[in-house]
Parts: sequence; C-alpha cells; structure tokens
Amino acid sequence: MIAKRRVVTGIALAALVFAIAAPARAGVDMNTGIRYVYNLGSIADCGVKAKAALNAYLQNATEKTPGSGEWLAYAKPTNGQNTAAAVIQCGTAGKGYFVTFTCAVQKPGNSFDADALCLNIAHNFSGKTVTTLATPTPVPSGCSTTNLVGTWVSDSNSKLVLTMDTEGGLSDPDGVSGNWYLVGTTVTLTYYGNKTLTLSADGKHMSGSGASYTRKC
Amino acid sequence: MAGTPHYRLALFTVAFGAFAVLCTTAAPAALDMAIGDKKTVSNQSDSDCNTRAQAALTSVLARPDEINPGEWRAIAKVEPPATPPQAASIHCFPDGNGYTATFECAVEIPPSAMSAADLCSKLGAAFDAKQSAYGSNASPGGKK
Repeated sequence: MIAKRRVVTGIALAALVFAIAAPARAGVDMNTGIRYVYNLGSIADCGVKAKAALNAYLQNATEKTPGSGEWLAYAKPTNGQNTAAAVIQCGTAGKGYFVTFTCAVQKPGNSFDADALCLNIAHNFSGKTVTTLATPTPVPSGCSTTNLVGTWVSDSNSKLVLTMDTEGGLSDPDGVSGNWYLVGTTVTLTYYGNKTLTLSADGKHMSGSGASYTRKC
Repeated sequence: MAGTPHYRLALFTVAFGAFAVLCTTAAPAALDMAIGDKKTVSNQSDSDCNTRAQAALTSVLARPDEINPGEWRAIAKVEPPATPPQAASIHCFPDGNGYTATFECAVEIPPSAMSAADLCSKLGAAFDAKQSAYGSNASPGGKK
C-alpha cells in the first residue's frame, strides 16, 4: 500500500515538474507566393541564378539532386542552430522556365521575417532592387512602457535575472528560455508556464501570478 | 546505512533534483526545411491540383491560404503566445496536358517531433490520397 502511494506520488511530481517546466519554443514563419515565368531559358540557367540569389542572403546553397532545379540554403547558424532557410524551385515552362520562392524563418530569434527574406532573394534572382536584411535591434536604454526589452531582476531572488530580447524571447542565467508578450500594461510571460503580470505606469516593475520583477534601467 | 530512511530520502531528493534540472533545461530550437518529391500528373487540370493541395494541407497541418493562384500555404495553428512549430507550402503549375506540384516544408525542432522531410512525405501521401474526380494519375519525380 505504502509502495503504491510512493509510486503515485512520484508520477504526480514528475508530471508536475514537466508541466511547469516546459519552456516556450520558437516557431516557424513561412513566406511563399512570388513566382516568375521566363519565356526562354533552361533549368540550368535558372539554377545558376537560384544558387547566386540564395547565397547572397544565406549560405551553401545546394541542389537536391543535380539538374533537378530544386535549391535549398540555410542562414549562418546562430549558436549552432539553423534559424532561417529558403527554397527556390525551377521548373520547365514551354521553352522557358518558372521559378518559385519559399522562405522559413524562426520567430522569435531573427530580426527579419520570412517575407523580407523571400522578397530580397526573389529580387536578387530577377535583378530588381534589393535591400539589406534587418540586423538585431540594439537593446534600448531606459525604461519603456511599450516593451519589456532589457534585464529584469526578481524581487524575491536577486540571482534570478531575466533577459528579454527585442524578438519577444527571454532567458535566465540557467539557460532556460521563454517568451514575453505585452498588450497595454498586461504582460504574459511564458516561463515555467504562462504567467499574467501587470506592468507599472513607469515601466519599472511588473507583478502578478505570484511573481514580481524590477527592471534594471 | 544504504537502507535507512535518511539515505533513501537523500537519494530520492538527488534523483528528483536531477530530473527537474533535466526537464527545465531548454534544448535550443533549430529550423529544419525540406523539399518534398515533385508530383507530375497528366491529363488533369490546375483545379485538380488545387483541390488536392488544399485537402492535403488541411489534413496534415491546417486550413491553407491560397497566396496566389496555385500557391498554397498552411501554418500549424497554435494559441498565442505559443508559436507555430510547422508550416508547409504546395505550388501547382501547368505542365503539358497536366500539372506539376511541388512541396516545401519547415519545422521547428523542438517542439516539432517530426522532421521537415517527414512532414513533406506525409503531405505527398495526403496529396496522392485525395482522389481526383477523374482518377489518380500522379507519379513521383520528373515529367512523364
């Protein structure tokens, strides 16, 4: 009987830890829809331009199988992980070819989105005007009531410092990650589960759901 | 000593602590993207491709958007502030007296347990499974 209770308690504790500890994850932002049709040209012609366009914004563009006209490239990894990629597909259309562009970007975690990536790759392919992709925004100084970017110290544990980035991500000193979301003065923190807090009028404090933080600013 | 209640309690505490740390350590997420196998279908119209693309994306991911004629995209539905772990697109274009469909997939691992290649395979199978009103003439790979 006692052994059974211990097993049940163990399972319950394990489930509880797993439920509250699962951190928030980044998601996929995908863009597609740009399609060009060229009346003259081969798949090989398309491939040359596809490889150059992909490598202008990403790196190591590779063709799925030689001559297939299906090209894939990833961005330079961030902390060893891929966070952006694009596909260009070339296909025969009469005496010419068509080409499509599809891009995927990890959000949060990138300063540009899939729309910007695909538009620039497509414009590079077609020789239209291109722009530089956005780079990470510098962390703003001072307290803001429009975002939570910066560092926040727990009022109950000075060692618990949350660093919140411009992309809506957060991390603590142990490497646990999460997300922040601000609408008006209502803060949603996804960090050991979802917590709802209220941001003070001066942007320096937030509290709620049993947690309280003060911004370093 | 090994069987005393104190020893057992200490052992349990250490094991539980290790488990908690394991659970709370966030694995870095990575983007995975793949190109699925092309489908070339003869003696069928664009609308057949569009019907299949829509049905395949709906059954595997979510109701898709037609970005442009013949360009379909679906992104897995999640409740904010969660972010979608999977997305895919299907392109339909005329090819001779039929059409060709291409597939692109992207996933975030974790939380997605499925790779982008697996997602594209699943989409391809769903695309084939949706029977055309005129019979199925899909074949993998290049032109017929």
